[in-house]
Amino acid sequence: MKIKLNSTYAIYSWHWDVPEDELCGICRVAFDGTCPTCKYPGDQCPIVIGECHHAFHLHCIWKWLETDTSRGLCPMCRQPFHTDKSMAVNQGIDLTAAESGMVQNRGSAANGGENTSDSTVDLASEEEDTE
Amino acid sequence: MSTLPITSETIGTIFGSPYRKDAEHDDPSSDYGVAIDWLCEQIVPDSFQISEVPLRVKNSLRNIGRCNEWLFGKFSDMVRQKLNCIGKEIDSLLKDLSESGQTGQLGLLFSRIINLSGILQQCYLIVGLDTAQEHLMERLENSIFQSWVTEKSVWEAIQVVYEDKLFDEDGSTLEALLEMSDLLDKIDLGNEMTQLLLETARTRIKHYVGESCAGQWNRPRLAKLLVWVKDELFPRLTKLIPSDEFTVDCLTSMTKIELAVLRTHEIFDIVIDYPDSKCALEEFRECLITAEQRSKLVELFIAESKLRLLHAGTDTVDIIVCYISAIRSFLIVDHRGVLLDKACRPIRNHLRSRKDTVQQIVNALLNSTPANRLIELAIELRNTDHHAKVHEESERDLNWVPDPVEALPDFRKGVVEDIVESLISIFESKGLFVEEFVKVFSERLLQVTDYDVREIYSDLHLLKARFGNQEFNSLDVMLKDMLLSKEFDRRLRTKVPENVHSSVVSHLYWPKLPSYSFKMPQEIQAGLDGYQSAYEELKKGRKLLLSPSLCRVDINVNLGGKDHRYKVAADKAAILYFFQDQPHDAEVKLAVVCMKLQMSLLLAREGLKFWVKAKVLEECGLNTYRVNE
Ligand SMILES: [Zn+2]
Ligand SMILES: [Zn+2]
Ligand SMILES: [Zn+2]
Repeated sequence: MKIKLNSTYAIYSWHWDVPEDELCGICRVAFDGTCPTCKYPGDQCPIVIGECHHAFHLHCIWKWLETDTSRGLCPMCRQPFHTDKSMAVNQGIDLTAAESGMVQNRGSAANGGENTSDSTVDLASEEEDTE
Repeated sequence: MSTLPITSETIGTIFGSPYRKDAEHDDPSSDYGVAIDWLCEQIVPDSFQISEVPLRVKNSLRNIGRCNEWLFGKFSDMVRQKLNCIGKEIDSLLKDLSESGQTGQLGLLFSRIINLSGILQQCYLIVGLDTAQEHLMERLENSIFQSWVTEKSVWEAIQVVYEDKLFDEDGSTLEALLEMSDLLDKIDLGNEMTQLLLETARTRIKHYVGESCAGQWNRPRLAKLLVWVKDELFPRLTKLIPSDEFTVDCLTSMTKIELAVLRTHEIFDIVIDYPDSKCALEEFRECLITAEQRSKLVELFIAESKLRLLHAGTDTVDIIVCYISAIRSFLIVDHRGVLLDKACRPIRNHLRSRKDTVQQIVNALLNSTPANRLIELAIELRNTDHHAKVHEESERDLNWVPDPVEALPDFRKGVVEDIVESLISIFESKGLFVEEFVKVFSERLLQVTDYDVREIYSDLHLLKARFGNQEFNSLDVMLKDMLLSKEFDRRLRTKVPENVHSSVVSHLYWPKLPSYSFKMPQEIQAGLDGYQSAYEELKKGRKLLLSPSLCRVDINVNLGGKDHRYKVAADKAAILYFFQDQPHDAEVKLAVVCMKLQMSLLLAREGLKFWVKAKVLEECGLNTYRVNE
């Protein structure tokens, strides 16, 4: 008997490579999920890890840092928040995707949360891109 | 019908007669005595002609004079006593009648009544009663005759005669019935007789409806029934029934009632028989008139469905099929949907309590092949008219009209009418369905090996139209995962082996993936390693976790010089690779396969069984296998 391998089709799940806590320190949602305003996890709702080793959804920490009370500090340890450039997670952020995720969410929030065409348009454009 | 005993006091009260005991008038030799005695002798049931009035009686009567109150008093008293006397005689005759059960004696009774009434008529003339007195006498007479005729055994005998003879084709029997009816009418039992005849007619109709309509649901029956009523039944009855109020409409509505009774009893089978029973259902609607009929229908359907459908042994799909038929059927009978709502509540409650109801409905919605016994649901889901319908519904809400009176408080017309909506609304929240959709879609998506998700995507679209957009967040993410995987796969093409592809899922949005693990064959693992590191290189900060048993491989197995192609799960391939690496003709135990591949017993046993069935391996001893070469 002789076996010849023609092809392999694998099923993977992806996970953010974060060492400790699996929940975002701000919204308490798993990193592999999204911040409260996002629909799609991953590229559109990435995470960042600070020099203090605290990790957040990018959108969560952005919003926090935009507030006056934050004074640029990490909400967990009150040290100035800077992303740790050495962490692979921080290098992988696709800012265009993350910003498009943010914009999209703001747009849909303005519609009273009824993002009726959002996913449809989204999927359709993806389809076009890949064709 | 009870009859009061007629005494002189009651006569006194009723008739206000000044009659009382008086020596002079009691004297048999007086003119009164002579007249009354002679009249008394004449009243016998066997004759119908009074002999000529003797001179002495004529004289006495002339002496007394016409319209004499004293004479009237004595006369009516005498008649009463005499008739009661004859009545006792007849009573014993009737005893025989009830014992023998024969109706022949009826004729005798009737001829006696006819005779007596004829004789009394003649007496009234001779005595010279005035109109008022004559009228009083007739009432006395009738009330006594009535008491004879309405005696239980006699009345029953009359009933039997009607039942036997009313629909007899023989013309002479009709004559006899006419005589009987005339007599009953004459002694003032016209209403009772009409009642009796109508009852007889009802029995006949019931019988005829049963004979010509029971179990006949696929063609019209009502029109034919009504022709029979009009041409056969009505002409006969109208001759016998004196009342002007009796029209063919009485019989028509009686017929509809009887058809409704029949269909009510048949309702469960009619529902099962839908759509072949459409005809019967449409006629049923025409016959269903009163609220009482309607509640009886609901009550019976509920009882039958509990008895014949709603038990643990019944297949869930069968119950859903029956429920759909019930929806369609009851909407024909009652457009408003009120009966449907009431009749199907137990079915809905039962379906709610079943573990696999949601699963069956979801499968049915998504499976448009003929193998789907509930394909109606798949068709309904794909029916794009639905959007228009929803629109109508909301417009209807603006022009609010009250629900039909019989409706239960939580009755919702739009929900009741729509098959898919009816089924979904069995459960309080749509969450259960969405969960099940996620499960089914996940199974389907994990089978995809060419990134083609167009069919699944269009199904999701249809579901959103039904269930609303918001419910399907995870499904959106799942589909997007597939699209991203496709895009990613394209970007990796230059970096990974041509023959390795994958789907990368966002695990929080998918049902828990199976975690079976085993040692992947080296050849397969090599390709996966390349793929995985290329991914992690491109998507910095993320790692991939393989679900080994979900991996599928496409292999050619060369056995005895012949190639066979298999697309199998990686665990099955792993088993075969293990045999390939063994020396020729080696026999391998199940336990060894488990140990060497670090595979669960279940997975190993299944895989070995698969290859034995494919005749690639053979079982050469208990739990021992070798290559079938
Ligand atoms: Zn967060
Ligand atoms: Zn986000
Ligand atoms: Zn910190």
